[in-house]
Amino acid sequence: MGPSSEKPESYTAELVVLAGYILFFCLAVILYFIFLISFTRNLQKSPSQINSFATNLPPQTPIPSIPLNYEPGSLPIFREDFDNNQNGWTGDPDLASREFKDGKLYIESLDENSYALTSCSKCPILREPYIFTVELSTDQLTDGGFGVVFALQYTRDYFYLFRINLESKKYFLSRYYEDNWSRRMTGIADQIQPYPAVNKLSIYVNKSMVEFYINGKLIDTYQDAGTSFQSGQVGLYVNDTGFRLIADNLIIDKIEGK
Amino acid sequence: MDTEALKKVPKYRWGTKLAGWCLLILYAGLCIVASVLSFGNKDNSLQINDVSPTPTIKSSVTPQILVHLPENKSLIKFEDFSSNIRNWSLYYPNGKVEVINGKMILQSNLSNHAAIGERHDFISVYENYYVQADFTTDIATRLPYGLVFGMNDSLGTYYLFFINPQTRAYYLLKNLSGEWNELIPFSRGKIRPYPEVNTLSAYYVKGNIELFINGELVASYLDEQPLQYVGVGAYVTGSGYRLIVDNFFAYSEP
Repeated sequence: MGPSSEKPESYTAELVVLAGYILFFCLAVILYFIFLISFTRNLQKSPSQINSFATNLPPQTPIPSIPLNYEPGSLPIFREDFDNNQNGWTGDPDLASREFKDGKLYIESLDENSYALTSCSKCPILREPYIFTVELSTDQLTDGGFGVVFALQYTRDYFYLFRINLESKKYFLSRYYEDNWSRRMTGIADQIQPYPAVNKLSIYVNKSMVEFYINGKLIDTYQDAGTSFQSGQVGLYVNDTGFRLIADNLIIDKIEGK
Repeated sequence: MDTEALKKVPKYRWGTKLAGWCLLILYAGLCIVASVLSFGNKDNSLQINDVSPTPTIKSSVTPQILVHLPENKSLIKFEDFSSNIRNWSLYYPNGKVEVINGKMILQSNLSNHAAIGERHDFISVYENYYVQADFTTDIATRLPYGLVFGMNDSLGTYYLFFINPQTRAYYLLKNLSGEWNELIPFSRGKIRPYPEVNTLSAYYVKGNIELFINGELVASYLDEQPLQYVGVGAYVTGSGYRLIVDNFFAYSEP
């Protein structure tokens, strides 16, 4: 048998093995990239932010609950333009004076060591989520505080106060119960306009949650489990003597909660 | 020649077979690695789903006083923060104290400005008392926080048992109306890192203060001029994080 009669050598098996190695190399590269992408994603998801105790907290930057297209007075529960005292605004006559003038209510504290609180007998006793808006200003420059009260009970020995100070641009949330004050929240809001500007204060109340707005801007929120902020009346508050608080365009609208 | 050619073929096939077996082993290895990675990834994705968006891992352990349990258990005051009916209040301006989902949430809203959530009448004024609470934060923070005791909110005096989980350090301070005294300096302890809970306790007997972290005694100090009041609370150093407090225990006894 000469060389010309030899069968040509078959390389099929070798080619299969070679193809197998190439395929293996490709699969290994793909697997590597899948692992790399997966690892990067997990890092981005930052498991270090997971709180194993209780992270069910509201966001640090609160999101307003009221609709963007909300117009005060569009879903009225109560409206007061202060033309006269038809709604029966009352308070302790020894501690506060009230005057209706030019379609506004002027309130003054008469006792340096006490506060003046006024509410109206025809103001509704609220039980559902609502937004309460009122325009407040003072008749002179003052560092005294003023604000709105809510969850006010008939006996007036229990309420929450949202108060602002025009000079320091600070806001405060306090709870009053049987001659005891409990401070719950304080902060600074640039939205508070100095004297003689009018500041529009709004509070959106929904069960145990309150949102606080100054001149239309949400400045803070507050939650207190077990407390129904939406039960009770609203009122106006003057912290100190030496100035008169001027109130106008008080509106309470019904807004369904989330 | 023929014999040589015949000899070459088996040698050649033997090499191919070896390469083929190696390839099979490599494929098997690749399959194992792929399975392991896929399993690990599944675990991760499950974990992420579990925590998103607002996880709350409930502890199956019943909250209890870890050390110095009093003989008369009726003396124990316990706050589970199911509501704020006991009126936890804010001390210092620029902050917020809330009760949300069974926890007290304390925060300062100005950097370098502290805030305290406190109760001055949680326990009666006696010379012996014990305070304990669980602490963690909503995010990892380099700022310390801690347990306040012996407080008089009118005078602005209190003890502060401070911990920093990031550096695993603790210290005891005494505030006398703005004047800080370091009673126990910066020390290292078995403080659990974020997001784990640390239980801080202080046992006070006539000026002798014992400090516990997660039930273990870490330090003691005898204050020659002790504070006589029993207000309790929690303390945050500044803004940027929220302190989460739960299971506040305290008792005092003559």
